[in-house]
Amino acid sequence: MNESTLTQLRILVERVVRRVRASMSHKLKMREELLAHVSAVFEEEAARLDDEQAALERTAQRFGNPAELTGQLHASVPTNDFLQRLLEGMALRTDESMLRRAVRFAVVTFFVCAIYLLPAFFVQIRPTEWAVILAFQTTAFYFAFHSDLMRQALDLDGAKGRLWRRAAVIAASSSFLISGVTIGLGLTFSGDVRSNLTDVLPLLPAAVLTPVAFVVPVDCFAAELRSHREWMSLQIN
Amino acid sequence: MEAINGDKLRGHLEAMVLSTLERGEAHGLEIVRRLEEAGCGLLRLKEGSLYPALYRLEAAGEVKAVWEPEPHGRRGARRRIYHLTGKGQRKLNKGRVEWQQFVHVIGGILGAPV
Repeated sequence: MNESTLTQLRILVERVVRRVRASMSHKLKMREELLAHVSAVFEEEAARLDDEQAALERTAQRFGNPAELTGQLHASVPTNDFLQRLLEGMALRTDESMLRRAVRFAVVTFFVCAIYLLPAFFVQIRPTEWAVILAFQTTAFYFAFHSDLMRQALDLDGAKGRLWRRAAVIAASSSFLISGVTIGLGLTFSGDVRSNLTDVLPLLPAAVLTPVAFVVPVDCFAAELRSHREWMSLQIN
Repeated sequence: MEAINGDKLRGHLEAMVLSTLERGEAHGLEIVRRLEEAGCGLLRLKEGSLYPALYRLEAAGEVKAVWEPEPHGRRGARRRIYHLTGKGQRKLNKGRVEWQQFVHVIGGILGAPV
């Protein structure tokens, strides 16, 4: 089977799967399994008909009407997939800039923390601790932005090549996240710089591990995202 | 004899899939082959329709699936191998009883008892 035929088979599958409302991982599972099916059918038909074009047409015919199959696949998506789709929609949107994603993370974190923490602060008469919300928000922004920078530097999309020096700079700057946020938070409570710096010292070993926390989640989703983007780039009409 | 197509199969596909898996684990295309073989060539199933049925059965715990370790001749695409679970076996047994009752009742009404 040549590359062009494989692309035609992928298009056949993507016509069915793209409009199914399901999480990325669920759709990738469908895509791979259906591609395996149509590829096997194509090989069977190509051997029987000895004509690739006719075999492709016959494969599409055997596979069924794309619109009907989309509806059937959509109906088969488990209800609990909704939650994963929601989380993916928040975390893994492929069509927005790094800055916008980071701002979105920060805004969502702010509202979630405000809803959960502000009432508790007021009930317990600890309103001065509102800065905790800002600390969470800052961490969310920093985490989202640096994760994207790290993904680009390590070329987890497989587009250009790894930029080790840039990755080292990002790792070094991300080491300041925990200590920086802790000092900022401490200053809003006490205003005593020296005692805050002392408080931060035990956190330094953890701070060194912070870059790892940026790479691991990014690396986990990199292959899925790359595959999803490849499928989404197919012209299906 | 007239072919049996998708409309007539609706509502029975899942039980038929469970029945094919009773013969042993299989991937999607193998299930289609078993169905065609059992249907004596009269079954006209759009093969894509099999997968929504398999996903429903999987979500209900009536079948379990594992990815095959390596793609065989299909670049980058692996098949999933399905097997019947205990719950699926019970559903199949129940489906058989219900089918016999259905055929008995409808056959009686149509004046064509089995």
